[in-house]
Amino acid sequence: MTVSRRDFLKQSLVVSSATATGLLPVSEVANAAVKSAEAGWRWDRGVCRFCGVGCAIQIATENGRIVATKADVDSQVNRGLTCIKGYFNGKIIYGKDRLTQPLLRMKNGKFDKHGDFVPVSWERAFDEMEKQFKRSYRELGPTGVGFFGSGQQTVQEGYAAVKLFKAGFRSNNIDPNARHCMASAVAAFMQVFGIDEPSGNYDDIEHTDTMVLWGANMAEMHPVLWMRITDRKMKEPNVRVVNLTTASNMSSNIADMEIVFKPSTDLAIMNYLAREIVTRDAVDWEFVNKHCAFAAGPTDIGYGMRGTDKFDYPAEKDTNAKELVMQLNAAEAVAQGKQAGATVEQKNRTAPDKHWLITFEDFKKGVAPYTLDFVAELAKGDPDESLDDFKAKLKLLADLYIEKSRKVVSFWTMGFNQHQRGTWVNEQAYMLHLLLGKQAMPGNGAFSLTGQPSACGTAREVGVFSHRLPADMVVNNPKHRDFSEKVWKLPAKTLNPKVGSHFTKLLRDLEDGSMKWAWIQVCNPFQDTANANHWIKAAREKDNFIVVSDGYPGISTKVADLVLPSAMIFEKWGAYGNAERRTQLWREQVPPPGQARSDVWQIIEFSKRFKLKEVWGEQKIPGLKDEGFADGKLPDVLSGSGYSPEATLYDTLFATAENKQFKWPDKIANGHANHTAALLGGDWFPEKALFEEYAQFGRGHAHDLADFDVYFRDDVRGLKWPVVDGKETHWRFNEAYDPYVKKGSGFDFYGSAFKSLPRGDLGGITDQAKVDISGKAKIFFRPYAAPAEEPDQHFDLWLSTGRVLEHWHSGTMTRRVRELHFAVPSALLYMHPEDAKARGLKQDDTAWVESRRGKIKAVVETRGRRNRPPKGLVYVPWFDEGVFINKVTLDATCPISKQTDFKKCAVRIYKA
Amino acid sequence: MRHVSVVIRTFVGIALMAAASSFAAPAIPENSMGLSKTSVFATPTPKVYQENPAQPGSSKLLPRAYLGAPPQISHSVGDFLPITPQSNMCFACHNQPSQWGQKREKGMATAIPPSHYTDLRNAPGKVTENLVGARYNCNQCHVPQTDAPALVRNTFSGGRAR
Repeated sequence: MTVSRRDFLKQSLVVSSATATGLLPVSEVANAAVKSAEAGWRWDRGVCRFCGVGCAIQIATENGRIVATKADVDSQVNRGLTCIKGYFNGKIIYGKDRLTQPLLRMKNGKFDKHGDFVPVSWERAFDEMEKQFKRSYRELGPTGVGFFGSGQQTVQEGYAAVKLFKAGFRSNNIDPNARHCMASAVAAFMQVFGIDEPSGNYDDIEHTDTMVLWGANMAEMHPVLWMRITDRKMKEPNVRVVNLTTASNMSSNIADMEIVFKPSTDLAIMNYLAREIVTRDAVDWEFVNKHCAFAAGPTDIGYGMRGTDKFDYPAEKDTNAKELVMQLNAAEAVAQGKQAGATVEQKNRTAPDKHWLITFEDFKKGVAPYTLDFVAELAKGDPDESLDDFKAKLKLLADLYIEKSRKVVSFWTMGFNQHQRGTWVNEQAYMLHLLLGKQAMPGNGAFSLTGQPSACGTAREVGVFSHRLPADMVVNNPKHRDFSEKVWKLPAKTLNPKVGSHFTKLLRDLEDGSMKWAWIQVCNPFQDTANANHWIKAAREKDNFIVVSDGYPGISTKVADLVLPSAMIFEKWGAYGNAERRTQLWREQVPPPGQARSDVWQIIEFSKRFKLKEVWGEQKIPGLKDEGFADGKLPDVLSGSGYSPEATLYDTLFATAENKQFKWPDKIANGHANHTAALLGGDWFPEKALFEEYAQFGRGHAHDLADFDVYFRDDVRGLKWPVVDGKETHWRFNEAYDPYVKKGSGFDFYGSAFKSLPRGDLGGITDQAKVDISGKAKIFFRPYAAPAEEPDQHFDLWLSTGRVLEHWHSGTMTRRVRELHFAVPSALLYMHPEDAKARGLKQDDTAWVESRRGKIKAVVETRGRRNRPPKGLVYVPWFDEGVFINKVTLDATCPISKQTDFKKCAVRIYKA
Repeated sequence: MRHVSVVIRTFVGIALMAAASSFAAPAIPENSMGLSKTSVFATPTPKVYQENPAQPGSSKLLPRAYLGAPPQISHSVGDFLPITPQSNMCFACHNQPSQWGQKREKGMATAIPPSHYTDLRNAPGKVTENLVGARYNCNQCHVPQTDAPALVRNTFSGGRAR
């Protein structure tokens, strides 16, 4: 018998672990080398550019360049750790092909959509941008222009963009790539709690003993939290980690139990767990009676697709037709108490978010069909696993949740959020925790993680969405518009009450010609949006003008008409907010290269080109119908406003008397520059002024931020809002921690949205009289629903997409770092070896991946070192523009949240 | 000191390259931009890259990105993954506290440094006998390298000793 190297190493592991380790001091020589190298470096704090964890880092600069970064040991988030990407926060800005001057498509000295890119001055760039904007704005009104924002914009960038678009241009066509990332989380927070963002914080990891991952491969996507989870697990024998996923992944390696389920059947597993809680009499009635109400909504809500076949490729028509009429399959029929094969007209596709109160008895009826037998049969995702094993796992999962003495945290991200019933499945997570009374307390809670570094801080809190205003307010609420108009000193009815186009719809608008001008900042929509063939064609072939502000050229830059060079992360002042409500600020560390300039400057500078008479007169808004407004238009608000028609948006929105009170230079800069302030005249501090003006929205409304300067204090590493009387809030809605909770209530789910509701049953509303449920959270019954597209005889495999540890989003930064690029040079097609074999494919072969919408080529990976999909499912990461997988994916969304489901569509795979 | 001298060499090399090419073309076709030098409508055939075949003990250390950056893995790792609570193959060779402060002999594994035996969250400043759990998943910071060429040059230069 031969001893393999692996066996040998296993043996030596045991030996070496048993050997006593001598404790030696760190090498004096090494210490001296570090000290010598660091002499002359300036260290200052920053926050990681990448994921939603929000690790604090320290940045070293010398002679105007970043020379090193390190994890901040004083940060509660990451305590001296970052992941592999985090170490390259400095290096990402030094790719040789940084954009350093504006580029305009030209022929013969003039703008030409078919021309090549020619370097131009900022003046020339803004001239064309203004001319093209005004052409579209005059022709189509405020809905003829749009802005693509980002969960990676700084707070100030997002705020400036929202103010320019909503208050200046009166357009709600502004939406972030965060729509693709956590819109379902937001919709669920608003429907369940009436207020956005998590109750808990990352310290829940150290407080809990059970962690359940639902479609969240934290080992790759939230690496530093995974380090904390691993640490907790290795220390405490009682700690259990469960990984629920559609493909075995790196998180499974550390987990105690892995549950591989079929796409979308998480909805059914959730209801099985709820049924178990009810059947085993494990409902925490004291908590539920005092703090919760039961609710339900319509099920015929469509799939977020267009609802017209006008722009469909022939092959797309069958899937897209389901938007209007869906035929229920057998499982869905049982799950929804309907007839199998019944065709259901999707009548509520225009009002998918409506909901009503139900009784516990109705809730019980709703979950009744979700027996272990039914759910296991439906949900088992690995054909090679026995049904009995799968059942045993589901039962054990129920045991873990239900065990009275166990604290439980459920984590999720894109698996839930990018889901055709994303809002529902988010709500089901709260359903479990609320039924069990395990919510909003240390170590207990459903915890929605976020993907991007400021999806929370900017996109959500600032409200860079087509329906939102800062601090959870919305454009279609007259009180919220009124409040915002007062803070912004706008004439009444300046703000547009009609919700604008969400991210995917902005692209559909470009295709159908209802929008002809778009500005993109800090994102790559033409690579990151599903069904991309439509959008790149629309950008290049339709009559429109697309402006892209970016640090590097990417897919979106290549389809742009004008490219603006942007300052990257530490080349500007900024603020990010992470997934535990922690706001972190940083100073400008190094100057941007060439003529690259901050996005804040770009927005403010562009605003100088608009006089109030051009934007605040009467404006047409197709389809506007709202109380107090004439149909289809916004009123002239200029006459009688006291504002001069000749005043610019710059004077009115940005360089206001209040903002100019924030003087530059400011001692908080501590020797750091501000190129934005310098370019705007040098006497005021735009990032501080914008931050403080924005903070007015949230202070006193449970979104309180501290003063700008506080975040730079030596003893502060970000603060979790609400920050009240100088104290951050660790757990919201819990009287012991949250100053907004009513005294004596214990728990108070004080969010005010959707708290007055009619009553009904599982079928619909039965009594229109509104019931007030202030202070309560909702426990929703949400049924299993099949996705719009499932594998069939023509397209026989599921395709799921996502990230890898080593790369960030569309790879424009991390692929320019050789250490990261060498580690993962291209996106691979992860598949089961037998699925490969059945198609005549093996490791390293090149294969076509084809759907109804498009096809791309990728290299086959079957060794299972990173992802190990079950038979029937393949996984392709989306970071690689050379493996443009979003040409293949389906642009169906959760109809409530409008977030795209990038996790499931049907493909066929064959040898290239 | 070894890492420091590597950093110096890298820096000089990059500085020379940067000086050699710094003019801008008058017009830039879109297909010459970005990481895939092709039309957005094209479907490129991806290249197949191979992981580093070097066996542990036989490979040369790779230069660190900068002082304090985690070293990349200089050998093949296929046989050693996954890392599970029961088995961490990296640990078998790299858990060498007795080598701290010693010059590494040729062919010996680089010792996991004392920082990895320090629990920065609960007991900062104290070097213990056990690898900290938060550092257990080696491949969250240390990654192997394939034979792929760089897509774009990068002019970052890490700190250097004086």
